[in-house]
Amino acid sequence: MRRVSTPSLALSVLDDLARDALDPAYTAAAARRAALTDPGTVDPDATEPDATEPDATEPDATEPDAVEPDATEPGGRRRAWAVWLVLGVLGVAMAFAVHRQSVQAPAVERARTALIADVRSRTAADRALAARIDGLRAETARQRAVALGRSRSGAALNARIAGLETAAGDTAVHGAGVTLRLADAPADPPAGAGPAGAGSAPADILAPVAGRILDRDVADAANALWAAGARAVSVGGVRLTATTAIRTAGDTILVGFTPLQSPYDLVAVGDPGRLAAGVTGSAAGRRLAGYHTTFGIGFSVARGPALTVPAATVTMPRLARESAR
Amino acid sequence: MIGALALAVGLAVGVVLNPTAPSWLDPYLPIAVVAALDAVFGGLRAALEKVFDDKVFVVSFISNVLVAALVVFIGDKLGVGGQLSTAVVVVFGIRIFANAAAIRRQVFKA
Repeated sequence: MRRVSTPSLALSVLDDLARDALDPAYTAAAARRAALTDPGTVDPDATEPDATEPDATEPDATEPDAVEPDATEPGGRRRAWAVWLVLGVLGVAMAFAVHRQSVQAPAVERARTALIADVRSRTAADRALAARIDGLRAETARQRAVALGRSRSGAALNARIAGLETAAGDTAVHGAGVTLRLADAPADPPAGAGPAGAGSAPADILAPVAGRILDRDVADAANALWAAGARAVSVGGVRLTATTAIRTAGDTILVGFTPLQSPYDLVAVGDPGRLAAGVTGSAAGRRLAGYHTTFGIGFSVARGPALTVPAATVTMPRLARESAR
Repeated sequence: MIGALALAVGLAVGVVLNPTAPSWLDPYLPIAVVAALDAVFGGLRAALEKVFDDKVFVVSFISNVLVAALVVFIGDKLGVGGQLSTAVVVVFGIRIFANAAAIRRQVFKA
């Protein structure tokens, strides 16, 4: 009855599985029982060898009360109770399983949603607290200025504080200055943008990869602005302080901890003429201008009469010493 | 008939008790239920074919559940619990379908 010629093991396993779906123990037990009780009146199908072939539909297997005869004997009655007990246990187990699926799985989902909501509300609270800190700091600074302004030495101290705060990036700076814009080259640059034959030129190790602005370019431009006498510089709206790093993380440039995308706007407050001349005349400026003609990166300097460099979120120094006394 | 009644009573008891299954049962309970369902369908089919036997049913039921739980347990220990659970479900699913088809043929002659 097993087809030994089945080519695939997996197929034959599945075949057996479907063929022997009815536990052969049932037919064996039925045959044993029939042989024990009354060999004469046995249902012939139960003892025939092909009764183990479960897919065959026996013509006379229609009587529904197959269990009843056994229940009359004492051992059979006990076993019938075992059947009911087992089925009852199965019912309880199914209820358990269904309950678990319908109650606990949504519970996991609910917990996740609650966590997300928690994160959002905490972030909002964090932002509100940061805004409150800014307001309180501004208020403190105002009160201090008023208090110090009452005396001559206090006024001198006020001026000194203002200068130091600007240097530290603690306050926003407004005034005339320049905006320097750096931008990645357009998506297909070397074909049109390279009049100097960028494709054939040996790869410069300092050249932007495929016309991309690197963290080094942004940092060089910022340093050029400082060197040209900028009082305050911001990159993409992030104020640069003594501890602000400009670096690459993956494909993006991080200024401080803020990821930025091309174009990168560097805003510097200071004497516009000096700044513009200083940047374009600097080594970094000449290099970027060269990339502009060779690789098609965006590089432009624009003067502005009223620019704003925002305040930085200054972390309080852990160890500070007065440099000169 | 009485078997279906027992099943219904068990379900009712389970629902009324509103149970929280102990958590160590979590991976085994669904598999054990599927294995038990296989035994139940086998028993139903045997009853329809007039070869039902109480002892065979109870033994196959308990051994099905225990073996399925054991397979899942070993799979969990080996780190392939999910795959072995799938295998158990596939095997018992095929058997349930085959038995259900046989029952259908018995009942509806089609």
